[in-house]
Amino acid sequence: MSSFTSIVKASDFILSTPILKSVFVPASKFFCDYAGYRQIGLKLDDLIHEETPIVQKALTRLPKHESYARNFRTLTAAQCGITHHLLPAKDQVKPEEDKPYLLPYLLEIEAEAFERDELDNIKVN
Amino acid sequence: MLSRRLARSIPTSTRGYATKIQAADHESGKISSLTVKVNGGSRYQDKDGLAHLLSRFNFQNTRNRSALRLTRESELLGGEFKSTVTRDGIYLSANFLKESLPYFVNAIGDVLYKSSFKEYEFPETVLPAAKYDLSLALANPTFKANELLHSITYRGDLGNPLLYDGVSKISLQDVKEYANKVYTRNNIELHGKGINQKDLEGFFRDSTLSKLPEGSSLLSTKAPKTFEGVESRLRSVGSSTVGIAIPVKTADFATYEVLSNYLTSPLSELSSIISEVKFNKYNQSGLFTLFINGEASSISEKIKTVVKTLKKSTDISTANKLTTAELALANDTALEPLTFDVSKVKDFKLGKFNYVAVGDVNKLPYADEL
Repeated sequence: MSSFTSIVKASDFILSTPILKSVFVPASKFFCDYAGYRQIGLKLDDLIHEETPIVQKALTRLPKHESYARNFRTLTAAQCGITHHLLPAKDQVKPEEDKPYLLPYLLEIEAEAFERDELDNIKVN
Repeated sequence: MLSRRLARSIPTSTRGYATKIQAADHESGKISSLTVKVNGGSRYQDKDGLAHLLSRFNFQNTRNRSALRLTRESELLGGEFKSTVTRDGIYLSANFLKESLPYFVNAIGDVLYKSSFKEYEFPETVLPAAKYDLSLALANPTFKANELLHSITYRGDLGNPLLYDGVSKISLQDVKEYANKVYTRNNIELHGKGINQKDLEGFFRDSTLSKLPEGSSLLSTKAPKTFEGVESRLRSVGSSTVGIAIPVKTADFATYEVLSNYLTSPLSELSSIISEVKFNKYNQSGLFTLFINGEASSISEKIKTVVKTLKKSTDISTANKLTTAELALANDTALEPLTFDVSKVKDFKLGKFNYVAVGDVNKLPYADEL
C-alpha cells in the first residue's frame, strides 16, 4: 500500500505542475461530488481505512472536539445507510468544509515510523 | 591524598555569558560527564509536580531531532542521558567519551532551547513515565515518610511534593511556561568532569545554550521558614516506618554531617537499629532525617531507644575524621564540592524535632510518648 506521505508527495507534484493541475483538480472535484460521501455527511478523511496501527495512533492524537465530530459523522452516515436516505442539502458536507483534519497526524506518525525503521537498519562503519 | 584532592581548586567562570561554567579535567580518563543544573526543582514550582513533569519532558522531541534519534545517536557514540529532579534543581546529565563533547553540549542545548513540547507527548510519554516514578517511589514507605517530614517542616518551598501525583491539574501549557521561566542563562549552571574548561566554554558559546534568554536566577537567597515539634501520621499498606527530622541552618551543617556519619558507623551503638540516616543539604537550609523501618510493634521500641539516647548529650567528635574522609570522597564526584570545618564539632543533644509515623499507625507511638 502506498503511504500517505507518498500520496501527499504526488499531489504536491500535481499541484506544482500547471498542466497536470488543470487536468487533475477538476477531475478530483468531479470525482468527490459523484462519490457521494458528502451527501451522507462524511468528509474524505473519514473514508481512510482505519484498521491500521498508524491510523489508530492518529485517532488517539486527534483533539477531543475533532474526535467527537468524526464519531458524529460516522453515526450520521450509518443512519443514512440503514434508512436509504441522503441528508437534506443543508446538512450535507460542503466542499469547503471537506478539509483533511486527520492527514497532518498521519504524516507525522508516518515520519516517526520511517525514522524508526531507518534507525533500526542503520549501518555504522 | 585526600587532603590534596580537597585543596584542588576548580576554576569557575561566569564572565560574559551569565551562566556559571565549571569544569575539572583529569588527563588520564577517557570518560567525561556533563551536568546542567537548572534552579527549577520542586521548591520553585508554582503547581505541585511541575518540576517533575518538566524533568520528564527533557530529552523528548526537539525541533532539531526526535527523541528516538537522540537516544539512538547517543547510544552509537557510547553515551547516555539522564534527567532527574530534586527539591533544589532539575539536573540534565550526560556521560560520554571525551571526544564526543560537542555533540552532547549541543544535544543538551537543544533540549533546553528547542524542546518542541508536542501535544501528544504529554499523555503518551511524559505522564506514564511520571506515574511510573511516583508508583515506584510510593512503594517505599521511607519515601512517604520523607515527603511528609518535608511538608510538615517547611510548608511550601522545600515542603512541596517532589513528584507529580495528579492532585493539582497541570496542562501542557503550564509545563511550557515553567520551562520558559527556568531555562534561562542566569538560572543554569554547567558542571563538567573530565572536560577541559576552555573546551567547554568554547562549545557552550557555539551551542544553543548561549542563545537561551538571559532571564534571572531563581536561586533562593533567604532561608525558608521552618517549623519544629510537629507530628504527622499516615495510614498506609505495607511495612511501617517512623522518622524524625530536624531542620538545620547552614551554619550548623558541619555538626549534622558529623552526626549522620556517627549514627551510620559502628561508632554508635544505635547504628544497628537505625535503617536510614540522611542529611539533606539544600540551598539555604538543611534537613536531617532518620528513619526506622520494619514491623510496627518492633520499631516503636527502637525509635523510643533512639530518641532517649540522642536526648542525652553525646560526644560525636569521634566521627570527625570519618566525616572528613567521607566528604573528600563525596567531593570527588559531587557537582559542587562541600567545604565545612568539622574539627569544631563536639557534642550533640537532640532538642525539638518533627516526627512522622507511616504504616500501621495504631501500633506506632505518638511524638509525646517518645
